[in-house]
Amino acid sequence: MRNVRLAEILLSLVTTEASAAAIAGDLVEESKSRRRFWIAVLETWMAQMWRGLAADPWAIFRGAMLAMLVQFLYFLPLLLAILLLSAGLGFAVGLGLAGGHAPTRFMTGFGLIGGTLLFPLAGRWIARRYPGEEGSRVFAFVVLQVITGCGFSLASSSVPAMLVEAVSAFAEYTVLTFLGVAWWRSRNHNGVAHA
Amino acid sequence: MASATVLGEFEQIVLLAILRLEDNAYGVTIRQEIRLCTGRNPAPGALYNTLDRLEEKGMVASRMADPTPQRAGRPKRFFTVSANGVHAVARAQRAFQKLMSGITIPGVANA
Repeated sequence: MRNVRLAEILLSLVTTEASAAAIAGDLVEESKSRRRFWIAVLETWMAQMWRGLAADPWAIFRGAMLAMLVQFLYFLPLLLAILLLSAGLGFAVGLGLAGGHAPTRFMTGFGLIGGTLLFPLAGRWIARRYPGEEGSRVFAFVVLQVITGCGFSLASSSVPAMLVEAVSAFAEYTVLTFLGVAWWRSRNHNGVAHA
Repeated sequence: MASATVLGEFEQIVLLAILRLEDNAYGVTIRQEIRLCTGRNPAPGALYNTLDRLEEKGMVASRMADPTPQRAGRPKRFFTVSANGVHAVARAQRAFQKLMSGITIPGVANA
């Protein structure tokens, strides 16, 4: 059984919902097997996503920059919270209530978790602002994030290590950002055009 | 303005396929018609991109039909060629014929 609904949701990330429903219907009608259906869905998804990128690359780039700015704005309260809690922990260390490494460990751990959570927030913002274009927008945003990250890490690591890091970061950021898109959609979409 | 209506080869093929299909032009039948007439098997993504682009250029119009159970309840999106599209195809074909006139290519009958 083909999960047509899932295919339709995926396609609606790169085109309008009405068009996604029609394309999903065409692919159901045309594909003789589940494997062919999903290959056609993937191929169509990539083609539509690429078309979104190529149609107006500057607008896509500006959108990705804006998403990074929004992510940074989300980061500010988190940073403030980390600093305040670290200061509290430092005070506790001074009183002998916590170990000497506690503030550093806390800042690293909390910063990593908090930094990771920022991607779904950015994804949610992208889904809200660019409905039907989420695929190309998220791709551009993640690529920009990875390039920025690589720029920083190149100073401290070798090129092969940086490439491995870039690939894993790309996969991680893509999944996390699309989680934000799914979060927004699950709360704001009652269905698609045919429903 | 003139450059906006220049058609690529695949765009011409898609427009001609829609014209041939008249009222029954949607993704599946357009692909079948292209396969039948040209022997090419266009990828679905390439076809939908071209259809969207032609619609943006004002050369085709689309309308959604009612959902059908054969397509898991999904509607068909029917396409028709607009007057702009017909003019663009005619212009492209005239240019092609002009280029072909006076030359002899084996296996091709010149008008």
